Amino acid sequence: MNTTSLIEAVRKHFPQAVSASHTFRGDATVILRPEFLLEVARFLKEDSGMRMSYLMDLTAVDYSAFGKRPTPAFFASSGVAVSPSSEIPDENPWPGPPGEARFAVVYHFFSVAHKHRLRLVIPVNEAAPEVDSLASLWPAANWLEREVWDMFGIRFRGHPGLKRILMYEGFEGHPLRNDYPVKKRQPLIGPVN
Amino acid sequence: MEYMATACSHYDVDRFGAGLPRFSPRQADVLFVVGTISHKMAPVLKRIYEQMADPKWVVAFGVCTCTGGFYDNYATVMGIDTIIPVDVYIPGCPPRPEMVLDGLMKLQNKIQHQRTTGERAAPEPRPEILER
Amino acid sequence: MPIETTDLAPRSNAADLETRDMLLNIGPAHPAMHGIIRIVTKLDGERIEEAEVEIGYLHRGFEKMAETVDYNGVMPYTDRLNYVSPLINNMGYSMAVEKLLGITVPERCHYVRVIMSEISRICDHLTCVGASAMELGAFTVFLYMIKAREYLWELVEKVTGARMTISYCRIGGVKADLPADFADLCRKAFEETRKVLAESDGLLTRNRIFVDRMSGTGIISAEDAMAYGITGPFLRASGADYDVRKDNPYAVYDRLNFDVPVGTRGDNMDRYLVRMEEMHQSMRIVEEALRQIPSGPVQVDPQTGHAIPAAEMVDLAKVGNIEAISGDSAVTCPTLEGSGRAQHASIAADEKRVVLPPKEDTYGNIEGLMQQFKLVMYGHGVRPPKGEVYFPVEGANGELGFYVVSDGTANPYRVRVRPPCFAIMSALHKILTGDMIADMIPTFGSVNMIGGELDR
Repeated sequence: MNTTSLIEAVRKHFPQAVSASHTFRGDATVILRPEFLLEVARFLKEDSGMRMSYLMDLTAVDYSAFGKRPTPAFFASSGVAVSPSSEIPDENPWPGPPGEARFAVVYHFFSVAHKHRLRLVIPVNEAAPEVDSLASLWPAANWLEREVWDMFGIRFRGHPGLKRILMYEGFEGHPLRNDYPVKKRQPLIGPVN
Repeated sequence: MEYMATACSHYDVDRFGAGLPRFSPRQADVLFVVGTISHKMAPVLKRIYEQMADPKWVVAFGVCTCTGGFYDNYATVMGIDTIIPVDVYIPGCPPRPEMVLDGLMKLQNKIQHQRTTGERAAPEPRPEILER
Repeated sequence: MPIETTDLAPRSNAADLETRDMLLNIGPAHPAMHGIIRIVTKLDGERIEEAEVEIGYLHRGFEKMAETVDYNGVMPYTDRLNYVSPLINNMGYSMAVEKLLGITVPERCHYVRVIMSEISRICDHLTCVGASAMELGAFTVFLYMIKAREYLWELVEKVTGARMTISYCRIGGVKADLPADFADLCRKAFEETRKVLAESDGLLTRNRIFVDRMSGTGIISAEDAMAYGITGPFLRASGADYDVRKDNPYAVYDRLNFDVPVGTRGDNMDRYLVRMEEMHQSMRIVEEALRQIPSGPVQVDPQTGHAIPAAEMVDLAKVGNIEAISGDSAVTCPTLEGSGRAQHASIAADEKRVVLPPKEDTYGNIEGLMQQFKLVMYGHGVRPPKGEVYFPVEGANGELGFYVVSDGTANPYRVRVRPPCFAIMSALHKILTGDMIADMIPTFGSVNMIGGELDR
């Protein structure tokens, strides 16, 4: 199936689940409401037209600093415009971060049988950062979700054992969040620098 | 990777007497620390260093072990000399095999001129927080 | 003389011996395994009942660092992901950002990238097979394969300037064109590699010890492998035929004829055979690409007289042979000096906002200087439009995907690497269960775990 018919198939089966969709640069992307994740994922895995055998990637993005990163001091004082390059022609612009939520959990699916890819985006609020776990459908999700928990602090309901995977016990905070400073070290032994 | 290349036929570290890598610290004289050390690995490195029997020497191989390299972030130890004393620093990312052989020869010279008690000069004091 | 019986005589019925499981920690520092990993195994005698894998000892914060530098500045960080095949990582990242920008590079540049990627893939497989052979005791094979890898690294050094961490690709092109004598050098390096592969094949493939240790161990079925997200040679050895180069072709792979070896049983022996065959196929791809590559303009060497190539001069100086070169002048290879204008058009996209101009233009005219200024000065740089893309390439271990989110500024907003060996390691606890403790060595060797890619 090509990108538009993939999105159409998901919309047809779950009209109330899909809040938005786009095909920026040819990647079929569907933005879902969080409560429908498990149903849609099961449909993607089992439907014969979809047959998504692979959960290729599961990651998250923290949109809290999107569009708000500080301009370098040189430009602020000299008044030189640093707006993004809008001259590179783009007939299909990206709609932007999904909704008002701080985080988005991004899933990439691939089907070996049909050779098509789909991206699912679930907006996640900062107040209650919880999403259903896909570990029961694809065992690949187990470690991928542990990494998202470690790096972003998003919990997964129904995950068999959610603990840190890349950082160590005793590390406080979630490093890939935008408010975690790059150089803030928490050494187990040795000096802080 | 570059350690593997140095140990093999083209550059052959065996002719310098360092041809037997022993993965157990109890039987080793020199500890080559190759590759970035993260804060998760740091206690393990210290324990390995303590497991080695005297006399022992440490070679910091690669710039990540010397000073942390360009990974100046939450995860990396900025130089293993903050944890264990180092005798020879071999910078480079990765160091060329010729640099490794030069470092090994420098270590051999240093050992030659060391007093039998194995004392080494104290490391330079480092400030608490490194400012950019 | 009758043998005295002792109290230690074995019981007739061994089933009523009580046993207890033992927990064995194969800790972060251990012999005979490459990469820092910790595996805690629960053993019943020699058989592994359960295993738990702990990673993260080489986590260096790639994704966080990528947000602090500009788009071309991420290139050295991508080198150090899978540091045995760095050119594939470079290519994946630059193609992802080029997809985000919506630009295409010239055809010759595609061919150059494909050639260098395949050479990198051969280096990776040589290291993997050599290291796992060494762990099984075949030290000679390791030395032979590293010898072949040295020839390939010399070839890579002639093109990119470095052996391992090369930062060769740029957004919108590559750093420099192939040298004029590349086809000859490549042919010689491949001759050596083929000799080494033939020797190693003769030493290992029908070797009784090797076959006994590798066959029947570390088995995983194709359905399980796909459920865990495993791709690459590990998956193909189990029988599923998925290769990103064939199924989602990128660059010029759809014009090249090559086969993808697929195994049947999914054990360590099949993985070894798949990797050996893939090396032959990669050499085939490079040779065909060298035949098909559109010719770039030939750089004419302006200097005459007693001049030697700079690389030779450096080599002589390194070994202390100063007298031989004190009277010479060095010819710096034009391909390693920021590309001459004549070659520039064939290796870099024609897009002023993304690619640095040739040095003659930077120093020669005002438009070149402005183009350089707008790309290099602090706060300026490559500015993709706001958006997100995912671009998969075939890494040496499987599908290496880059997911890049841009907010329109000079620094990437989020760069995510989908590491192929992460998926394989997540399935390791299942593969090891049921095998003996000694089978863990060949299984782990055939995983080809690269710490830089696994932990980033």
